[in-house]
Amino acid sequence: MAQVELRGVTKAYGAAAAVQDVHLEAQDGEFLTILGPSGCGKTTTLRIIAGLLDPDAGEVLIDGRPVHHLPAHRRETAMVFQSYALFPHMTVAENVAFGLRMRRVPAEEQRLRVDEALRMVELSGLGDRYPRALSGGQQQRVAVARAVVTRPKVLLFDEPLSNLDAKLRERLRLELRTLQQRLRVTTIYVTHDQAEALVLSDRIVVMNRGRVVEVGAPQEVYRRPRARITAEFLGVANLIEATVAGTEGNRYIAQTAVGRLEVVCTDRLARGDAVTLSFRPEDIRVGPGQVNCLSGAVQQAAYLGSITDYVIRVSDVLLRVQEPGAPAHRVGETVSLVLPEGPAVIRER
Amino acid sequence: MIQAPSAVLSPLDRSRRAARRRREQWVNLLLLLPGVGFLALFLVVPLAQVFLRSVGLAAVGQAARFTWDYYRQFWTEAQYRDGFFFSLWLGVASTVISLAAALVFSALMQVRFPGRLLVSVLYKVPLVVPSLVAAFLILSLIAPGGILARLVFHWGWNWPKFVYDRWGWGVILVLVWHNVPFMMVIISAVMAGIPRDILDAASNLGASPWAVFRHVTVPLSLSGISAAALLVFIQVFGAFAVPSLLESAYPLALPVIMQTEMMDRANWALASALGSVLTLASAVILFLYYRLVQGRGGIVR
Repeated sequence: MAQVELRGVTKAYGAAAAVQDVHLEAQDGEFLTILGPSGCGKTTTLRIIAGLLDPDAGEVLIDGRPVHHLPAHRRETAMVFQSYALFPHMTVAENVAFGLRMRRVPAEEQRLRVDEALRMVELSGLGDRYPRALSGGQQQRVAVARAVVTRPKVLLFDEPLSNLDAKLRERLRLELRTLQQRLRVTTIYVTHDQAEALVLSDRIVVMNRGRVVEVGAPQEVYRRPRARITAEFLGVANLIEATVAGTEGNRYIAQTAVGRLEVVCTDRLARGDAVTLSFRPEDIRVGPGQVNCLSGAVQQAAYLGSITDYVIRVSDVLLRVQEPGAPAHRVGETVSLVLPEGPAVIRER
Repeated sequence: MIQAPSAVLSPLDRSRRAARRRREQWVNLLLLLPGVGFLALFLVVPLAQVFLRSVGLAAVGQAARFTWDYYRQFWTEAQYRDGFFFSLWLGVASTVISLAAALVFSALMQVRFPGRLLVSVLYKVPLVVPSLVAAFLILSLIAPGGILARLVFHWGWNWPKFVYDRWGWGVILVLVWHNVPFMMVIISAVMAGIPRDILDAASNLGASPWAVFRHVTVPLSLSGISAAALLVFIQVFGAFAVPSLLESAYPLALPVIMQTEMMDRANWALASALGSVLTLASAVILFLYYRLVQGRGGIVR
């Protein structure tokens, strides 16, 4: 277990800044996920921690000790690559044993630890196979076994599930979480998949355009995003621009394109403040109500099995609304909607 | 309603089908002709003629009589046997030294450094220099009266004998100078094809740059390494121009002996036997190479 800290890390490729002044910290045994769209700098950040890229500025510390001057092979990190990066000329057992060989672990101990690692990822008996003879899911497990067998201080994952089909991805993400909890190893996981981030993480770091936008627990960043990009990227959000028109304690009147809405907010807002209100589709109820009740026409109704996903036009605004079960409203039908009084209030437009 | 084709063909249909098959066979043969015809005319026929001459058949100006005498002469007379082993030595030494240098330089060329583009152009210059010209260049540098010899003599030192020596170091030097860029072109291309993630994974797992090179880069470049080594070896094994210019009086490389037997002594049969030995030895090496590559077919990309 170890603590990882990045202080003001910056990296540019020519004139384009990949990572700008990134500060973040992963605690002992924590599962920290870096989430963001493609090109936001998350993989660059991970490679800087691993020592595969040198930062232009800033410091990387593991257990309080600066390591940014150390080459990759001297850092006690182990990385699982998006492509798995298994050695094609080595068997599964040789792949897993590679890190131990490089550390000159005695042969007998190597064998025991490789067996244990393969057992852990449920690949016992496949040690003699070459990577090309394995399925994608099995290759991914070999990559995990190869990383954990060296007992690194920090485990790094670079979108390790992105090449797998949806079903397998779902199963392996749970297995990864169980494995991490069992090993209690500090883990930094990079993904652009919000579901992965929510399921796996103790905390989520949202990155955009090379900068850290927000850090928080999964529920916190999902329910109370502080940045538009967080609300947009993490699940589906109805973002409605608003101007504060009146206040009464922590209750506010917000003037929006869909009408006047009553909003409860713990942050202090002043009359005239421009904000963005973020409503999750599952928080909007179709039916009559007293407060924040709107009327709209159903534009689309997509049945997704456990839920129905509606697109409802209110004035000129399209709202996504999700209700459990089969579609209860037809396209073209006019329905009443109730928006919750406690949306996330984002102080940017 | 669609009807299934009848299983029984009429005699007319059968003859049409046979005619179509014959036509297709002719077309296939015509398509093969440029490649196979070229090989037959310029490789198989001359090789067959060389072999027939070497066993006393198809000899120019002599009565045809089957004999293995010329092969016996090759094996029993020291000058020919030594010539074969000298050519073999030149091939092995040049290949090993060129390969070692090409491997190191190819690996370095994978690293980004200022001026890499310039270096990547400059290292290919020897490729466009004819080997005879290269021999003269090196000769002017390392011969007993060459630039370096005069330079060290100026400081009171003796220049070692690199040309006209028993082990053909001058010949090897020229061949290495000429073949390192050739090998680098092949090996660098294969190395550049190794995914960056695989090399990074090795580093991340604790491998030093040397360990990455040894355990990952070299094994994954084996296809290029073996092909480059094979091509260089066979080329040097049959080299004539450079050895004839830089080798000592004894032993002579087998191709040089062949030329003497053919042009000076008009002994075409013996020259053909020596040529057949060279060809056979190259074929054996080619066969061993394919066995090696086949055995590693799965892992050599």
